[in-house]
Amino acid sequence: MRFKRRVAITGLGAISALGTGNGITTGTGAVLDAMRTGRGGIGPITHFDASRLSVKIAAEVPGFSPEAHFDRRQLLMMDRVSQFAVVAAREAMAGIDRAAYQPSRCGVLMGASLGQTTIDASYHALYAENAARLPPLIIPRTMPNAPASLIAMEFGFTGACFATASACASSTHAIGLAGQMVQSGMLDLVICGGSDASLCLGYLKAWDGLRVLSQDTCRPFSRDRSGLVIGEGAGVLVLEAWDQARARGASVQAEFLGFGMNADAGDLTAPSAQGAAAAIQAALDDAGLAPPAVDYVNAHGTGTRLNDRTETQALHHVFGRHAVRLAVSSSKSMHGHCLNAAGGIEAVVTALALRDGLVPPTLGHREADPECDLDYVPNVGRRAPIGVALSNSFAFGGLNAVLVFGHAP
Amino acid sequence: MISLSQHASLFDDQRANEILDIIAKETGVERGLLTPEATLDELGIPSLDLTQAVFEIESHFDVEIPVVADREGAEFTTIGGLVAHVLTTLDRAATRRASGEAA
Repeated sequence: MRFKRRVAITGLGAISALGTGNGITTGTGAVLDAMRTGRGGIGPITHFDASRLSVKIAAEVPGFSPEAHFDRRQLLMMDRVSQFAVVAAREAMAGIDRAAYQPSRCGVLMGASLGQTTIDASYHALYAENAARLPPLIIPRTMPNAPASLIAMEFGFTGACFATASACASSTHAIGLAGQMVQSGMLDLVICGGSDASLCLGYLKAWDGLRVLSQDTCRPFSRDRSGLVIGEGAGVLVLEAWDQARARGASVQAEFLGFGMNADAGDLTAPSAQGAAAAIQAALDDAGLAPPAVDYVNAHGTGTRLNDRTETQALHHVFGRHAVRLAVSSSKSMHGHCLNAAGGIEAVVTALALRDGLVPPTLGHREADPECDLDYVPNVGRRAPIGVALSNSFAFGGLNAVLVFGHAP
Repeated sequence: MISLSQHASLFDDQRANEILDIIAKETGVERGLLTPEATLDELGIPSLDLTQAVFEIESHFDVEIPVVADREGAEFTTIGGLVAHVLTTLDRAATRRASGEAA
């Protein structure tokens, strides 16, 4: 077996519908508060006129003021998606002494995410308002690697920096690869995760057409579930070489233990229980763990009929008799489906669950489903020590990615 | 090539003051440093900031400013060169408008 360095998760940052940080609490504090109290962030769309949509709910980030974080010239370069990314990265890096690291040994890996609201506004100006010309910086603002590049610029990191594109698994792929880069010795510190800010008419109208959005709310694994609810936000982790983190006295939030990924190579949108199970198994193999070691699964749990059933089948397949002893919850029921940021925010939730021994609830659960027969922690979170946790992401395109985190000793 | 003394007189034009105000605002460079002979390199003005400044100048005067980057004589090397280029464009546009109105 090849040599692998241990990897510590030493920083967490988040912006979500659950809160942005307001001076009293941080964005991560808001997530933790919601996990404790069972508070959700899904509500009517208020950021734009949603009257032309058939689905009028989303998980919007409340009260985010870009001017509180960036000056006017910075903002010219930054779509909302990059603003979220950099603010979450600042939170994650807040307690970390950068002087302990060479910039060339530090990297940034983020889920690829377009500047959707900038694109939407510019097309509107061009097509609907007949604008003769558009602001000059739309291209750098909207490119899918902008969030990663702007984080690297913020911290002066000159090591590997790029964005991973795998739809709703993008940030999970980013975190998994980041962990492997630290394990292999290629990098000593990586800021990783994802950001998404796609709540605009053009993009949501396209989602409307897929008929997978709930008009009601997100009810993962509940028999009366009716689809997903799109959210926005960012979730960012700092991964560091374990020995170096310990040597500088870092407070370790959790440990990165392993990563599995694969492709269904079957259907572009329909999930596959077989593919999901193989990815979970690959992640456990990578971590060198047997299935009974796992206590908690942060499910992909979108709240669609198909995902929740196939994900349950996959868990049965991998965990066998241990499956019923797992706590399985979908935090998308709280912060919505944040698409390219989903894996990042859910990895933050998973790390907090491990750190604080707090199993987050699945909100909106009303009715048991014979096809979803595991312990989904319905509506109320619970205190329980967690040794090992998984975070699942099963994306459109048939792309599966699974993280394994452990409680930090 | 326009000489430095010509630049100095260009700066007496009220429109030049408006152009310099916009450049200062968009690039974050102190207004007093925007002298005719100051080069964009010396002032540390990145190309994207300049692009944004030109966009705002276009909006302010409602005119399209052709950008001919790296042409011989590089118009955009100095602040004076940039202001001269914008003023020339404004004069041409004014002439075109006048002839258009006459016709």
